[in-house]
Amino acid sequence: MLVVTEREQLPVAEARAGNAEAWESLFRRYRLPLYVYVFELVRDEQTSLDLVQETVINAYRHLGTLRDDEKFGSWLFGIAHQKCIQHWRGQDRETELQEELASEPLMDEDIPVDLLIREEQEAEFMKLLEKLPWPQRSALVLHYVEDFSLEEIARVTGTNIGTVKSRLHYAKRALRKLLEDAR
Amino acid sequence: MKTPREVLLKKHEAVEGKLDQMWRATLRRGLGGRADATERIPPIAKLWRELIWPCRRVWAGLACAWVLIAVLNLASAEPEPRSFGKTAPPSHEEIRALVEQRRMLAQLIGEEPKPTEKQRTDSSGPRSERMSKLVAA
Repeated sequence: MLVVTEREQLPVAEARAGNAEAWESLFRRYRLPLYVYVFELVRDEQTSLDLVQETVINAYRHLGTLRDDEKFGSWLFGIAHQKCIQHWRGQDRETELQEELASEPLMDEDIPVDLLIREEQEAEFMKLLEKLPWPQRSALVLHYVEDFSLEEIARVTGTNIGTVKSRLHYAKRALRKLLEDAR
Repeated sequence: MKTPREVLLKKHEAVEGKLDQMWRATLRRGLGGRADATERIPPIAKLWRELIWPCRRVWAGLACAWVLIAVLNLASAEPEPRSFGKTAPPSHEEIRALVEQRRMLAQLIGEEPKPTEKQRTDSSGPRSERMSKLVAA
């Protein structure tokens, strides 16, 4: 069901060496998922394009600091996440940034299974996603779009695994409830 | 039925053209140029970035420790004794008195006084000249 393979062979080392084709390849692999993630946080097309551009430039300049090439994806999304937060700070949305959920530890089995969405529910799904508080939305999009593990999501969002579990749990539960109510 | 991933990507796939344009524009405007610029950093700045800046707190701590040691050292130091090199040279009267004293001492103990500077200059000169003076006398 998931399109993203678990262990992709990404040309990170070649990109680090300055290979333009490797960068092109990395960009093609991540451009849309990165854009989707940024857009679902900032909700504006031009801002999202700008933030993706800044993310790519930042990644290009600092790829040398990445120690584990297999973590390139979560590292890249982590840069994008920081760019979004910087953008919000610029817009003085500190209050929204402070929003936190109760982070009681949850067991793995507490996280509901993924949803399957019928075609007529797609638009509704997008609207419901928008209604979620941004920390839940962020965790959910990372989980859906890149199939990141809890640890990777925690690294991207700068939180701990317990908080990520909690966010995913509440987000999926809220989404499921909203979808059921919408029927 | 679709997965949320498929729904999300499909919703935004129209923007792929703009993302490609943005990528090309970024390359044209100087993604490489920025990298070149970072490579053209002078060696001192590079050294500063790689050696000093990452451990700036450690270096600052060391600097503070040295400053503290220097301050403590200055504060606890005793005043230096007067150095001899800085005393004023003896006056002519003092030198004359000293010479006179030596002469008197020599007379008392029955030694011939050492020739003075003037006497020494008189007797100096080549021996041949001294001989001619003797013959003339």
